[in-house]
Amino acid sequence: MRKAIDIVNKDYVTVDALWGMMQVQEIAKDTKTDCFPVIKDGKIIGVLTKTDLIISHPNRIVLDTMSGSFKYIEAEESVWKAKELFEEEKIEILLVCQDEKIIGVITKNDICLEINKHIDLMTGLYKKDYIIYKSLKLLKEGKEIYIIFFDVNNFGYIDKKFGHVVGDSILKEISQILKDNTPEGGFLCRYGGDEFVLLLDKCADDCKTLTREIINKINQHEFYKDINISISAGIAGGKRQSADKENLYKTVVNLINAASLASTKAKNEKGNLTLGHIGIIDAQASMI
Amino acid sequence: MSKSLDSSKKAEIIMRITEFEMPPMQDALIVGRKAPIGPEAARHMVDVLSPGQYEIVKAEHEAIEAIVVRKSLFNMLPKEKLIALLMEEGSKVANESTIVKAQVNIVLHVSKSIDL
Repeated sequence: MRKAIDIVNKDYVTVDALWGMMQVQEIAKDTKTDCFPVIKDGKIIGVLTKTDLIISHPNRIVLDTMSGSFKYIEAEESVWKAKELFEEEKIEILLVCQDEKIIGVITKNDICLEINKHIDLMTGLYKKDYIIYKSLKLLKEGKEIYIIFFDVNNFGYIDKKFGHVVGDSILKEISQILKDNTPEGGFLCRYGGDEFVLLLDKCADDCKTLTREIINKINQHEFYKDINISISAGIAGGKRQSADKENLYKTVVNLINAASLASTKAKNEKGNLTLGHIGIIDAQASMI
Repeated sequence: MSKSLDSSKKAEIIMRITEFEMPPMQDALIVGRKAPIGPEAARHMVDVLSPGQYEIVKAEHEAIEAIVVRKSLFNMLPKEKLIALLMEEGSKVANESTIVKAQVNIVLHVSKSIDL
């Protein structure tokens, strides 16, 4: 999973709180930078934003102009954590720390560019890293999680018989049905070609009920050219007993794998829904 | 065309000498939001010349960003009353691109009666 350290900008430019704006505007022009951490007495005290650069009087000092704020993030934190900080804290810059030292910055622009790489252009859904991050977050909060792995039946045949353009159109329709049926607190992604993953923190019975509802809605939906489409699903999940935060990543990827295998089993048995591992999930960390 | 052979240039000098005001602002500065000098710059300026004597009071006003006030005035008048007064009068003459200086003379009238 991509981390803050992977996108950190180590060549960032800082400006002194007592510098004049005319000087900073020249620096912005020369360095093509539009967001500066502001330094006073060796410490970062604020952020000079792009808007500040545009609207401020050139005679003003930076201290009288800066309007932005910042937060700190550990270098090993995920880019999704960085995204959440930008959204929740209304900040302009994240200062990336490693061994209690600031090693660089991440701007709003940097995080937008990074997150865009994790969006599937066809369906508008996030890709799998998103679900892994959200699963890790829920597990760290001590919650119960369930991975529902959806796989479209005979999609290769549909692609071959009707063409890839028709196939894409069907995938868009399926993704829309999934979006419309994702409950509050649920997270959805396009895992691969014709595979989708829904993450829920509800109890197993609620997850099974919702999955059956989604399968029925897809069965009943009138798809492009009235092509019959059905979908199989596998569920895996539960709760951790141990409070220790080690091996959470392995636990999550193994749960996804268990849900994926369960969906394949459902497809082979033409049962539409199969349960993978359900219950205590600590042992999932040592599965692969 | 004839040319003048005896032309000359003269400079007239008018000098106006006054005592330097310490600091070069009076009791309060009303700083507009787009003024060329912001409140922090004004405070740094007076802090160099008269350290610790002025305070910035940020304003919730569409045109006025802050008032930089001589702290000693707060010994004679409660801070919120003085600021409210400066804002009320200042906003009539200041706009977002100006810096207006204000001289504030406070005269306290005290009348007491004592037992003889």
